[in-house]
Amino acid sequence: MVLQLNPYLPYPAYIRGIRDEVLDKRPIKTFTIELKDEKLMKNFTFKPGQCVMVGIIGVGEAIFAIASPPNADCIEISVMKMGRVTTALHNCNVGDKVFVRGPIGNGFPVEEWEGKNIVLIAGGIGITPLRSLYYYICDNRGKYGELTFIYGARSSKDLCFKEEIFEIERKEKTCHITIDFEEEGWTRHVGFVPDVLMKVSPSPKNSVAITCGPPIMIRYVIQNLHKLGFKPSQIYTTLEKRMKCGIGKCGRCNIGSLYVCKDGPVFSYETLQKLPEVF
Amino acid sequence: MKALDKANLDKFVELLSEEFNVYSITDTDFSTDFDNNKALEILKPIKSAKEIVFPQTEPLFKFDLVGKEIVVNEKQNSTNLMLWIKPCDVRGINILKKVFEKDVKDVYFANKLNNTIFVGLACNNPSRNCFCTSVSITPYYKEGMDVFATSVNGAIIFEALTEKGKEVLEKVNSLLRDATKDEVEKAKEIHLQAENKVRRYNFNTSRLTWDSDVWRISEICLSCGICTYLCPTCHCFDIIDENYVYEGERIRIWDSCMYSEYTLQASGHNPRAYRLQRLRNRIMHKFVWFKEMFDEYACTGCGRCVSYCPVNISLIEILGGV
Ligand SMILES: Cc1cc2nc3c(=O)[nH]c(=O)nc-3n(C[C@H](O)[C@H](O)[C@H](O)COP(=O)(O)OP(=O)(O)OC[C@H]3O[C@@H](n4cnc5c(N)ncnc54)[C@H](O)[C@@H]3O)c2cc1C
Ligand code: SF4
Ligand code: SF4
Ligand code: FES
Repeated sequence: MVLQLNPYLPYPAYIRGIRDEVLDKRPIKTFTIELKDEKLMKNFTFKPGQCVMVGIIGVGEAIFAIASPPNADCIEISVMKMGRVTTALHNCNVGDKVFVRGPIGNGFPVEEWEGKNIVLIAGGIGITPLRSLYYYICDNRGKYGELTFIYGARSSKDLCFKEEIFEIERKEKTCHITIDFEEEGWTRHVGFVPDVLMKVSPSPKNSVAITCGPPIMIRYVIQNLHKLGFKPSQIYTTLEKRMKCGIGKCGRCNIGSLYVCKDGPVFSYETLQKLPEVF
Repeated sequence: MKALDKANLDKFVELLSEEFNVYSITDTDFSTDFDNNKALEILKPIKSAKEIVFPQTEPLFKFDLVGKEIVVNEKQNSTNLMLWIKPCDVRGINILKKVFEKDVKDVYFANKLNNTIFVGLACNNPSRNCFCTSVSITPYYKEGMDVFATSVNGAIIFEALTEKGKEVLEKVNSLLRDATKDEVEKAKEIHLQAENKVRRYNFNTSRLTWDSDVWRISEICLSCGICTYLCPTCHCFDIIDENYVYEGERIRIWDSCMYSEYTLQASGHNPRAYRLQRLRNRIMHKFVWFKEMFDEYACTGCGRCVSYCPVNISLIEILGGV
């Protein structure tokens, strides 16, 4: 089939649902996208941590982490309104046509992590790939040890997937939600994600920690994970670079000899610490 | 080996043109509008041959802006023939091939490459800024060519290297004669003479470290991108949607890692905001990281970036060759 032969040719798709996550000057919406071709949709398999290029004809494409778990019957992405493509997406209505390329990138090494305790640490919109990962782990609970979930945003209004997060909080023993500053009526943590991580202080024993969020948060989270005794090989994060092709050809997303679009976006800190200019 | 007397050159080009889109060398680039005699004499055009397989602007597909549908029209390309392309430019295409065919195959590149025949010519007169022998090729390097030719006095002698090459020579067979033993000997001599004429440097790539002082040369870089556009191995591109009234095209278009917008993220963050970071990335990519990935340098020694940099930033100097 032509579509599979040409990596630049996207799959026709449409928006099945739109949900407001954050209403702000940088609003975030979650889009439920379905490929037009049912068979393709069924065969669209991916790993948590992989991404899709979503495009609008005449505007262009942008890359987003897949927020839905691999077994869902659709592709969900959460999009912060930033520039041309993201604004065009925010202006879309349910039923509108979009075009999808992917899956792109390596995804989380979920098989390698089997038998281990999992620590998820997310900030802001960085929760999207970890949401996919969380549901994947829920579906394969027997294969993993204990789960710790830490999620933070600037304010309660900036939390993505709010209801789901509170639901996870009810379900899981160790789910910690934090906002940067005090708010009236807020009874959960207050403070930055790296500090809450220290308060929760998960054990590094037989664990892996996966963190995703703004670069500055990632940096401090990694520092603190060190303090808690996590080795670089036990720490994973995802990176963001400007991208176009998504398949290691156009050149712009490199860090040294690695291309974030194809060798990433998931990297262990063991790999990253050897590389120059990671962020 | 076969030979063509230069007196038959016009007839030769004419015969080839009946079957192929024949491109050859002009002062500036490879063109179908070339001078038969001059094309044989010019060493290399300002622009490299990469455009033939990786055009500066290339449509990926068309779309209908009203119905918002993609329109794919698979048109059959006719076969291009690159006449007298030089060893270094063919090497450039060999290097691009590694990039475009690694892991995921780039079909646009692959189709064009598949549709192109390379009739290469050994260099008899390398220029001042050529340094191919310092990056492990020679003025008579043949890899990637279908036919390899050498200009010997009044004749051009040919060696077919592939099936396609044999077919090309078959096409012009009526104009060819057997090369004499003398001519074949003379060609070998010319090859070695040319090899000795190329300036040889003992490059020291170990000086290309992250914190090296060599990157200070970026203080005078204009970020004009000329070095990248002329370079036969630079392959960075942008993808953009170009809209007309009712329809548009998604195109890919050469970009340059020497531009600051190249890596600018939507958040405003830019991992290579400074010229030093960009120059370092370009050179380290070619001589350190590409070497890690493919065990060779992404440089053909063509010297274009040295010859045409408006502020005389010299790759040769950066590499420690004096
Ligand atoms: C691996 C990876 C995963 C990602 N996952 C997600 C995710 O899950 N969710 C998410 O929201 N984002 C994600 N991103 C980021 C997302 O890809 C970018 O926000 C997106 O590419 C921005 O595209 P854009 O077209 O909207 O911005 P662009 O238009 O490309 O914006 C680029 C720059 O141009 C400026 N600009 C934009 N429009 C104009 C204009 N009309 N005139 C002048 N200047 C303009 C912008 O201010 C910006 O500085 C991810 C990125 C990567 C690399
Ligand atoms: S000499 Fe310069 S232009 Fe030529 S291949 Fe090497 S880097 Fe590119
Ligand atoms: S040609 Fe010279 S001035 Fe222009 S970007 Fe390259 S190194 Fe800089
Ligand atoms: S996005 Fe093109 S190389 Fe990574």
